[in-house]
Amino acid sequence: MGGEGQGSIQTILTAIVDGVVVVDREGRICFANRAAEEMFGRAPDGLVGDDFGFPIVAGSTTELDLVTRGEARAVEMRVVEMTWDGEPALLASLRDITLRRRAEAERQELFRAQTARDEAERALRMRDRFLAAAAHELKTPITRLRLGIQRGLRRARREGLGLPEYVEEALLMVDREADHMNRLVSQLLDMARMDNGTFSLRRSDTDLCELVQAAVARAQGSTKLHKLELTCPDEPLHADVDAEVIEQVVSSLVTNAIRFSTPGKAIEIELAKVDALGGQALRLAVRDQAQFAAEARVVEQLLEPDPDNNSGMGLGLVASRRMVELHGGQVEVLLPEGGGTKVVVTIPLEQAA
Amino acid sequence: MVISEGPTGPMIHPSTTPQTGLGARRVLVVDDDPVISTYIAETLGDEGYEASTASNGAAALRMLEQDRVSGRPDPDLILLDMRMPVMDGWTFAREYRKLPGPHARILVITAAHDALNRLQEVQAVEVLPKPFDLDELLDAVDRCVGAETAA
Repeated sequence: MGGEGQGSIQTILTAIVDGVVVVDREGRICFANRAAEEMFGRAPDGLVGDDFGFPIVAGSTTELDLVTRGEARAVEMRVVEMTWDGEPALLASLRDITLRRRAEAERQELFRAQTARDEAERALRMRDRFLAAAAHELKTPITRLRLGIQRGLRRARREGLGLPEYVEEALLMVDREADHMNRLVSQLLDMARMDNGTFSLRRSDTDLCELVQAAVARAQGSTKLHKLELTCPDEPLHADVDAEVIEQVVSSLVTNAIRFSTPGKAIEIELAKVDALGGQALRLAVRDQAQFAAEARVVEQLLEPDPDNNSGMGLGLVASRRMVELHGGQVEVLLPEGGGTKVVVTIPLEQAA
Repeated sequence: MVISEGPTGPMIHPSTTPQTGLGARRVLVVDDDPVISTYIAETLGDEGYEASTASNGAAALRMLEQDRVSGRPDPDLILLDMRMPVMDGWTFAREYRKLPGPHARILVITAAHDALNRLQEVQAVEVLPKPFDLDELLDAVDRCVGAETAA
């Protein structure tokens, strides 16, 4: 090459961003540009005369892992044949691909995370479909049960047959439990739908005193062992709620209280209008004499379904809490002085905008 | 009297009260569960209705068509389950309304959670979610049959 041309080429080589190294037949570096010296962490002119140190083959593209001043770097190296000072030599161009590698790794990680999320969602949907199908299936034997019992009782009455009281009571109890089973099944279904977002509230202006009174009356009809005492406010209490859902919540809480409360003691139910949750709210408190271990963590467990926990409040309270939360409200479980359990439901009267 | 669709044609069972004769209000119970439809039909029979049963929409249509051919009017009320094999409640309602009127009122009995949607979907007069009390059923049937003929 001519002197001037060679000088210009050297200028170019010195200035470009990629590292350029020229290696002779013995594997020694005869030229390194500034970028290459920076990559290898050497002072200017520091590399010339050293062994290149890496396998270098004409026509190849390889990746090298370098450590520059303590930092790991990935470098892509392309090698071509050339002549240097009249002798055959190899030209290696070195490109820092550390950032590129990192971006690729991140992209793969995102993809993996997304795939895992998609699979989790699919599993959840399958579970909900199964739940819905199972719950639907359960309704048939429950319907048969109830119709069969009711029909039997009707016929006996109609034909003037005096069934022994214990038989009639047993049948009535079975019918009640079948009804309870049905409510649990409905709750299962509701939970599945709340999970996959297909559950929606149908709000309407509801007289809460009436609703709670009816639910309590129904519950009282199911037990002679417990006295349900209801306190309602004097003036009417109306709210824009899903009446069916709230009725379910009230029934669920009262039924639970009946199941676990010490027989002979009263179960106090109080409905009031209060200032809470940033405005006016309705508050329903159900206080029973159920004896649970007086540990704070038990209170938490009551709100989460736990198959290992024997308290058995399980589904009813969990579903109730979700439904109350859908209304923008909250459920608290308290252990008042004097024993027993108090469940407090607070629901804002005004729907949040 | 209780009439149901048996393997070789309609079957007649005596109910526990004497037949009330002409003028008895007639109800057709369409439900694929034979236990449920029998309980309902027998209860209705006891209360003085003339009840017949069909196990799916297609069987129900057949029975209605047979009645019409022999000059009988449609029943006063059809109790309709929605999920049935062969022909479901929706299809039955659609096919039934294609026949010339007047049409019987429809009372939907269903286990579905969004039961109330059925009202509009099949133009029913009422929906009774399963499971229900026999008392609830009888009240609903009384209400729906009424004194006037169906539209």
